[in-house]
Amino acid sequence: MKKFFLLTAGFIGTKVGLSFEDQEVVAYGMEVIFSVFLSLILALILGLRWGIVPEILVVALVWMIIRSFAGGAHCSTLWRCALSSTLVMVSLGGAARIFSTFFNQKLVILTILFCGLVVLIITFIWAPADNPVKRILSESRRRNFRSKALVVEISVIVFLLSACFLTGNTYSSLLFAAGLAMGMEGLTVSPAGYRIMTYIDKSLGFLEKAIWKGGEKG
Amino acid sequence: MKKLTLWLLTSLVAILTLVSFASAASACTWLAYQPEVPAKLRNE
Repeated sequence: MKKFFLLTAGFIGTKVGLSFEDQEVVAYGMEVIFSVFLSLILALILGLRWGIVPEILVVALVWMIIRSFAGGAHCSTLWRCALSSTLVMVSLGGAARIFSTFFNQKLVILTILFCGLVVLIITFIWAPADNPVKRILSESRRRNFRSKALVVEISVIVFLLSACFLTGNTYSSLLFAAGLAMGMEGLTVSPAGYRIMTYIDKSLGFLEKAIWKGGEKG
Repeated sequence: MKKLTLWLLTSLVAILTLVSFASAASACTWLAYQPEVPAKLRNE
């Protein structure tokens, strides 16, 4: 896929007059947009099928906001990452919809508090998560990301709890989805989350090889 | 027509550059795959 984006950026670059370095930046932007939209569209298609679109959108939003500062584990190729993200979004959205039918306000508040506490502890210890292709080497930059992640998480928890108190059970499935997304994002930052993601990555790799020989390198 | 195409491509480049900068400045790509960050955007 990277070659395709570089070729497209090269084509645009010749028309607009970009240097090779700038073409690489444009290709990187294309790859980021493509991977985000791919996961979102796949999740929304499944969400439409099962009627859980609002929950999926809430999961995606909370996940994106916290992940921007705390980081998290990734798969090794674009397709595997898109597939695993889709599965997580759909599973969390579905779980939120199912559990919210028999969860009362107190249980939703307890879930938000529990997931919030988990994500805060994990962020305090391990964030920002290390990524081999995007390393954060400077200690001051790491501290900066950690502080911002903690502030964002506390804000999200306060917002969710306030919304829960103000709206009662009306939006419990959405609030529950947001709580679960917070907990899941925390898990992807921890070493256990990295191990689970490596396992998922390898499993999807075997699946890829079984479907079309060799798979695809990001 | 040529001017319009050039304007559209320039706008596209501007949006994609903005996305690249935002993604490079964050700890991690928002939802999915993390592509290798181009040398120009690496903070080393």
